[in-house]
Amino acid sequence: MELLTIATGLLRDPVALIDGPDERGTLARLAPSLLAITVLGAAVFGVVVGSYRGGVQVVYAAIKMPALLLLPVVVSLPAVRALLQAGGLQVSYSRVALACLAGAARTAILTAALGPVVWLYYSITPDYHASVLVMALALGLAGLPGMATVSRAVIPADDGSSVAGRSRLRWLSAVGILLVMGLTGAQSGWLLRPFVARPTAEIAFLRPIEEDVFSSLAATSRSARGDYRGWEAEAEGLLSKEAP
Amino acid sequence: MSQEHQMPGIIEIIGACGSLALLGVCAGLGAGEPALAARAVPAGLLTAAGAVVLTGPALVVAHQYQGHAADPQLLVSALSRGFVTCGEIALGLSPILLFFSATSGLWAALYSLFVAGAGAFGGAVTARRLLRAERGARPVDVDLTTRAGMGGLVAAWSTLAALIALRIGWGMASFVAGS
Repeated sequence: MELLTIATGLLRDPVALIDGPDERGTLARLAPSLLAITVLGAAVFGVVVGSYRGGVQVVYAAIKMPALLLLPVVVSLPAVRALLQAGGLQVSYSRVALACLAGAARTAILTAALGPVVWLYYSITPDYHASVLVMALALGLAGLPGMATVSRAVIPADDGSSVAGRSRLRWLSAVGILLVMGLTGAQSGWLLRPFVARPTAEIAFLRPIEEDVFSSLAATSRSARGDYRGWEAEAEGLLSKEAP
Repeated sequence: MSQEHQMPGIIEIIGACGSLALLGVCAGLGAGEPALAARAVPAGLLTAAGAVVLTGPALVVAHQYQGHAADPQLLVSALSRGFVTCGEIALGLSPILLFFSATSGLWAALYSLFVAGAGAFGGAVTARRLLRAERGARPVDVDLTTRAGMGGLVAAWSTLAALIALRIGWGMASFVAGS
């Protein structure tokens, strides 16, 4: 019952949900529920995405999808706080963590809600590359309100009393936060792939670390238009087994 | 001197230098080659510090030459605070750069982007503090030309600092690449 109340609060007014005088206490009280909502909502979306291939991929995608939403939160947290401080906002780590968790949970609920739409599209057995793009589109659509939640929760609305310079800095902070969270979210998705497994490929929980999300998106966009060049991915990164 | 215009302590300055070097370490880990990694470590620090050190004196000289009211110490304080902000952001961005260094080949592009982003934030903080210092120091009935003069000076300093940072950054990129 409490999960439903919190989920409703996340959709209607997430900032009011996490507002409170004792930020550490609120974090301790809400964090388990927010994590549970994130895992449940993202797992539902994972099941839908994994259904494109079916079989054990349904389970793999349901396990990995919550990690896709939570990994960027963990990696971006220090940068978000630093950007806020640079914008002249003294925000505690507890508040930033609460905002990020609320953003992830809100995104998870919205992705779960988009699940039937994505399933309907997958049910007409579209091309693999088009399926990947639709999944990315759904995540982007659901992710934007989530990221907006983070911004609104940590950057108070300008009531006109702040000086122009400070208000511009806050705007710069908001853009910086959206940029770093978008960047880490995109790379997390690439790292945790495959979510939509190719119909002919062997199913694997994770693929080897190679290239990056941007090269992949460019290749996928080309392939969706029938140009299948540029798929020769090279192993890159410190954790790649083939890196020098 | 008010709390806001207080000069950052030496520990804060050293901390900012350390943070920029840490960002370099995170980038270097993605480079693979030890020599390349070692050259990457100081690149961001030298770019940011170089831009501040090379443009700071010019700002103070031009400010005094134009007869503006703020104490030169406040200008140095604004410059230092901007550099400290740049370091704080670099520290916050380090985990993200480490993440990308570990999982992709984007370390060089993101290192450049993050140093530029941290520098832009530092510059914005400095510009705001410079304007505020001047506003707090000058008489209320000062004419419009004098007021516009400080805005022009800050804009000119920002442009010069950005150009010098770009030039040093270009040199650093060549140094890191070993060419």
